Amino acid sequence: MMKKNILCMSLASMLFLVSGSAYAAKTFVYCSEASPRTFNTQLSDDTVSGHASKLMYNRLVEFDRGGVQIVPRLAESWTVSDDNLVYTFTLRKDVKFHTTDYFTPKRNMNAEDVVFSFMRMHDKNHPFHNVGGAKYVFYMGMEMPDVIKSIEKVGEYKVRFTLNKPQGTFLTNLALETIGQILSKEYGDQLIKEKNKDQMDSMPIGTGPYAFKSYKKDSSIRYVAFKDFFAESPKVDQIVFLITPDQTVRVQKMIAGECDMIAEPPAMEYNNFKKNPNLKVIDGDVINISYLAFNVNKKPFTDVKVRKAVAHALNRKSYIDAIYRGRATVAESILPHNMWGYNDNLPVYDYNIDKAKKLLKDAGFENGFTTEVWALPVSRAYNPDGKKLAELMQSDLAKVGITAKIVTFDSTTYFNKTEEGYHTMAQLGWSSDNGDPDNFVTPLLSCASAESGSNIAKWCNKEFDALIQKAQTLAAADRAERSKLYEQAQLIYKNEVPSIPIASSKIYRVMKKNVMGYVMNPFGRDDFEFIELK
Amino acid sequence: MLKYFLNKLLLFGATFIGISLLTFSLVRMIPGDPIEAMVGERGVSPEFRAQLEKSFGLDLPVHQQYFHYLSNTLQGDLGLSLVSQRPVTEEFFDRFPATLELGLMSLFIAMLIGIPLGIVAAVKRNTVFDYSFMGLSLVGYSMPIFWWGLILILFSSINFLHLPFLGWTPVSGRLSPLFEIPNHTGFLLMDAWFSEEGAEAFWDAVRHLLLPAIAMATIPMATISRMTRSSLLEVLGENYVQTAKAKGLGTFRVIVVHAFRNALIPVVTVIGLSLGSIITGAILTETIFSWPGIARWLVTSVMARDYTVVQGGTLLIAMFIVSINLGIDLLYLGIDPKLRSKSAG
Repeated sequence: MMKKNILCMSLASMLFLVSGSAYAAKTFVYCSEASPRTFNTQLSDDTVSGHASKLMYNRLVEFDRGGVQIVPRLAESWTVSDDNLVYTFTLRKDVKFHTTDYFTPKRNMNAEDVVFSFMRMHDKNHPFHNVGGAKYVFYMGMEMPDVIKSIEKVGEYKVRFTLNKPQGTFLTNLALETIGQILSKEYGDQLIKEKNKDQMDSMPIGTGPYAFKSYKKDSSIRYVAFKDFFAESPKVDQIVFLITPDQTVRVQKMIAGECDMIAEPPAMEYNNFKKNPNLKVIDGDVINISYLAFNVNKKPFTDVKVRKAVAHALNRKSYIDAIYRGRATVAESILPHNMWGYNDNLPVYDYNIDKAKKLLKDAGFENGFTTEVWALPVSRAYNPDGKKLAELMQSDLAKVGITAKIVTFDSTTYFNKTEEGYHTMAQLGWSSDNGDPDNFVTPLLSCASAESGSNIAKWCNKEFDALIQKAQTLAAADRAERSKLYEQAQLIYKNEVPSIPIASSKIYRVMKKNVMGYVMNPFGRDDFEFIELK
Repeated sequence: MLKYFLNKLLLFGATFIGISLLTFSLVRMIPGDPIEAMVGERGVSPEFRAQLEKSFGLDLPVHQQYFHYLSNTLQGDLGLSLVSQRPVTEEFFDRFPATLELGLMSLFIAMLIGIPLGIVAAVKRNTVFDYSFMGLSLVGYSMPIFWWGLILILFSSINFLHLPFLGWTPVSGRLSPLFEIPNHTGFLLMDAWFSEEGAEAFWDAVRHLLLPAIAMATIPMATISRMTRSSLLEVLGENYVQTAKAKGLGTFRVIVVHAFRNALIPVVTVIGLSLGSIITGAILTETIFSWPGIARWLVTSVMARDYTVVQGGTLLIAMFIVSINLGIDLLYLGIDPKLRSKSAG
C-alpha cells in the first residue's frame, strides 16, 4: 500500500511537471548551438560568443535596428575633424552599469570606462591586456592598432580618438561588438583589488538590456532583465540560452516547444516549420556572397578568356534551387546586391554553352582541358552544400569539354590550402563583418591580401587596388563618393573575372508564435534586445 | 602479493607515459592548429600569428613542448585550456560528474534489463524466448547511438504517434530552465534532491536523464545479457547443479542461489569493462542529448584544436579507466582465492 502511494505521488508529480511548463516569470529560451568561448567578443569573433555577449553590452555607436546605418548609443553625439583624423565623442550621462551579486557600481558610465575598454586592446601594458589570452582578433584584423594613435579622456563625458591615417570604416568598426564594447573600469579596479582579473570576461558587467546571472558549463546561460537600462526597458524577465549542439535535436526541441527560438535552423526544415501552426518563420537578408575563385596564376586560368568561358558555362540559376532551395539570389558582383556601393550596371555572363565553347576555342582549348574544382567542406549560410555544388559545376563544365575533378579536405586544411593557392578553382564565400563594402573588396581582392592569403584568386590589379585604397581613406561620411569608387572597382572585377560570384543567400529564423520584437541583423546575428513574449 | 601489486603499478606508469605521448602526438597530427581553428577563413597577419603562437607556447620545438607538458603533468598541472584559459583539470572535474551520472544510470539500466534477459535466455535455452532476447540484444548492440538516440526522441519526446503514455520525456538537456539548482556535487540528481525545489527538480532531472541513459545502455545491455546467458549455461551443466536439482530443490532456488552466483564472475568483469566503454558511448550520447559532460567537451575541443584540453582530458579519462581496471584486478584478489595463491607464489 505504502509503495503504491509513493508510486502514485511520483507519477502525479511527473504529470504536474509535464503540464506545468508555463513559466511564472517571463522567460525566453534560446537554444544555442555551442558553448561560448568567452563572454567578451573582443576576445573572439565567433557567432556563438557574439550572441552570448551582445545583449549585455553597448557600444559608443551602434547599427540601427536590423540595419547597417550608424546611430548614437552610449555616445549621444560626435564630431569629426576636417582631416578625418580626430573623432570626439560626447557620452550620455545617464548610463548605468549592471548591479549584480558580484558588483555594485558607484557611478554612471563615463569617459574613463571608454578609455579603459579601448586601451585594454590597444595598450600592451594595460592591466587587463593579457587577461583572456590577449587575442583581440578583430581589433587586430581591422588594423586598429595601426590606425589609432591615441584615445584620451578630454572631459568627464568626452573622449577623443586620434588616428594615424583616415579610415573610412572607423565608425563602423566602433559599432562592432567584436571591437567597441564598453566595459566598466570600476569593475576592473575592483577585480584588480580582489586579485581576480580573469573574472572580467567570465562574470561580465556591461550596460546592456540584460545582465549576466549564471553559466552552467555546456548546459545553460542565464541572463536577467536590467531594470536600470538606459534605453527602452527589456520586455522579458529572463533569457536562458540552452546549449544544444546537435542541429537535428535543436529542430526537435523547437517542435516539442522546449525552445522559444533556435540558433541556425537548417535550410531543409524551412517548409516544415512554415507548415507548423505553433511556429513562426522570419526571413532575412544577410550580407553574404559565395563565389568560385580561380587561381589566376595557374594555367589555364591565367587567360581571362578561359575564366570568362567558365563563367558562361556555369548555370548558376540552377544552383539556387538545388543548393539553396530557392532561398538565394544569383550574384553578379563580389559585393552582395543588398550592400551599399553595389553596381547595378555590371555586364552579366549569362549561361551560354556556345559562348563558352567559342571563348575556349579562342583561348586555344578547343578540346577542353582537365582541372580541379575544390568543394567547400563545411556548410555555411552562403553555401550550404559545397560538395553538391561542386558536382553540379562538374557536370556543367563537362558540357563545354572541361573535365573537373572534385577535391576537398577537412575545413582547416581547406582554408589553409586555398589561402596558399594550391587550387585551380575553389569555392569560398564571405559574410559581412561590418556592413562596409571595404570589408569585401579588401580581404577578397586586394593585392595585399593576395599576398597574405584571403584573396585566394591571387589576383592583383593595380588599377582596382588604387580605387579601393582611395575609398578606404575617405571619411565614413563620404558614402556617395566611396560608393562611386566601389562601383568602378566592380567593373574592373567583372571584366577580369578573378572569381565567379555564385549567390547571396537568405537565411531564416524560427520561433514560437508568441515571440515578438525579434530582429535579425544583416550579419546574420540574432538580436534579443527587443524580444517580447505575448 | 607485493610483487603482483608492484607489477600492476609499473604497468600503470608505463601506460601513463604511453598515453601521454600518444595524445600529445596525435593531437598535433590533426591538420590545422588552434590558431587556424580560431580565425577560420578570415586569416591573420604573420606577426599576429607569431604573437599568438608564442602566447600558446607553440613556438617551441615539439620535443620541448612535450617535456614541458610531461613535467607539468607529473606535478599535477595539465595546463590551461587554449580556448577558455582555465586549468584543464578544473574544466574536467566541472564536467566529469555529469558523465559519471549518465554512465552509472545507463549501466544500472543495462544490468536491470540485461541480467534477467540473460537468465531467461539461458534457462529457456533454444526456445522462442532465447532467440528473441538474444536477437534483441544483437540489434541493441548494432544500433548506432546517434540514430537510436534520435529515434528515442522522435518516439518518446515528440511522440509523433500520439501514444497516450509517451511524450513526457524532454528532447535534450539536463534540467528544464524552470529550475535553478546550485551546484554542490555536480551530480544533479543529488543536488536537485537537496535543493529548495526538492522532489520537483529531482523528477525533472530524472526525466531528462532517462532517454540518454537508455540510448547509452543498449550496448552494455547486449554484452551483459549475452555474457550472463553463456556463463549461466556453462554453470548449469556443472555437476553440483545437477546435485542440487537431484536433491529436489526448486528451479528458482537452483538457478538464483546455486548457479547464478558462480555465473556472476565473468558478468562482473564485463560490467567493469563496460564502465570504460561508456566514455566512448558518451561521445555521441552527450552530443545528441546536449549533455554537458566530458565527452562532448572533448569533441568540441578537438574541433577547436584545443591541444591542452585534448591531451589533458584524454589522459585523465585514460587514467580513470586504468584505475578502474587496476581496482578490478585488486578486487579479484579478494574474490578469487586461486588468484591470491598464484600471485603469492
